[in-house]
Amino acid sequence: MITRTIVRIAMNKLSSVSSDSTGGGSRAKRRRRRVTGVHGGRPSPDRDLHLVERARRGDRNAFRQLVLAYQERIFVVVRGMVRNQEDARDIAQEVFIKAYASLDSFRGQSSFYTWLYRIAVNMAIDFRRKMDRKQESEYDDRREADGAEGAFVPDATRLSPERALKDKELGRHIMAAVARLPEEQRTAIVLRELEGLSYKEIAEVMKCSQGTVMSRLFYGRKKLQESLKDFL
Amino acid sequence: MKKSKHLSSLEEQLTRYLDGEMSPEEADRFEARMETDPVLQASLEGMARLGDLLRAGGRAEVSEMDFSGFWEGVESRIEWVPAESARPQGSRAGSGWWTRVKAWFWETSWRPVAVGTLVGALLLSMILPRYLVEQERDSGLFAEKDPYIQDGEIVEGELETSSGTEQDVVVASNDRVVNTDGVEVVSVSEGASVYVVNGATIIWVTDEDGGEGAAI
Repeated sequence: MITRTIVRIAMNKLSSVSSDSTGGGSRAKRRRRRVTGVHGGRPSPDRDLHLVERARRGDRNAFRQLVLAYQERIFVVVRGMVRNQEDARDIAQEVFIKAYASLDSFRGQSSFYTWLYRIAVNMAIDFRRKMDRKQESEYDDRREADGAEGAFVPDATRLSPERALKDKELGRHIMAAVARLPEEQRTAIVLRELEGLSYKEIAEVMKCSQGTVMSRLFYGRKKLQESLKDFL
Repeated sequence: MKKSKHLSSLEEQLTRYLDGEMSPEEADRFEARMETDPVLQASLEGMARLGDLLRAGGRAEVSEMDFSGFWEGVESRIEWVPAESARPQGSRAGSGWWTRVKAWFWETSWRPVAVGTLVGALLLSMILPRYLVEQERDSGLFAEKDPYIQDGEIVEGELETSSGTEQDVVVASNDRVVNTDGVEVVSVSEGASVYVVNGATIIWVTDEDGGEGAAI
């Protein structure tokens, strides 16, 4: 309970820091801000198109710039979909390999990053389904040992709020909760909360209506609020 | 936006407000409502905290992950994959220039110009030959009313000849007809006429009606 309280204090501190940085105002108005996801910035579609054109002509350095620009974003998306970091890193690399091989199929009708996210989501879903079909309980025990809720016991004596926020076990615990969501809600939550995509962009990636995106987000959040209630 | 049938109006507004999907006017109205509804305000705060928590988790995961060697891993894997499947499809052997042209066409911002140029070239290819023939005729090679051969038949004007006289006639050569002065008419009959032009004998064979013919 002490540990949970410390984490909750850390989260409240994070909220107050975020709110203060927006200039204050009422509690409600503080929330009216552009959520940009984990990375804090927005992609640059024009730059991406230029780099894609160069990469398509065989400019490997241009493709390298795209990888460097999106490796963390793709990792976070995949990490939210699968059960552990190692798999997420491997799949993220596969995403870029597949993207390079499929550059000619990128028509430019959507932005490069929504196209890339679609590849990432599809590959992560395929991987997850494959793992689920195998029903390898040993696999889960081995890979999720650190991320299981019951195993989340950080050392309270060394936890400052900042340290707590960076604690890898906190991240794994949250990601484990996301990973338990139904596939479609999980995808919508990851793209919105972690990547900051708009409803329109999420609808493009998931090939559904914006109303459906909204519904998946609402119910996904409800489930997460329940499973993470000790931290809220 | 299509309204979700699964959410109540309030749930929908709450979600759209939280995600910044409302217009400023809608957001103002929603905030005014929220000021008098502490339950709604608590719901919003709870969902907002959840978002903060999720992003904190995502940041923790990213900060822990070592991305050194990530690109090298991608690059080396691309080299490992056989070129036929690793390279963009347009550069594969056998896919040829047409695939590359198509890919360029769909990606380029110059597409309207390319379409216009293509249509223009097509129209030009249809109009230009006719224009050149007209120019050639106007230049004097063809007289205004002279007959000429098109698709093996004489069109425009008529052949008027009489035996034993010298007059301007039309002589066909390589499907074209030119005026030639001083042609000796040797004989004219219903089936065929014979002319001598510069020492060469031309036999003009007419069709059954005797009105049109061709040189042989």
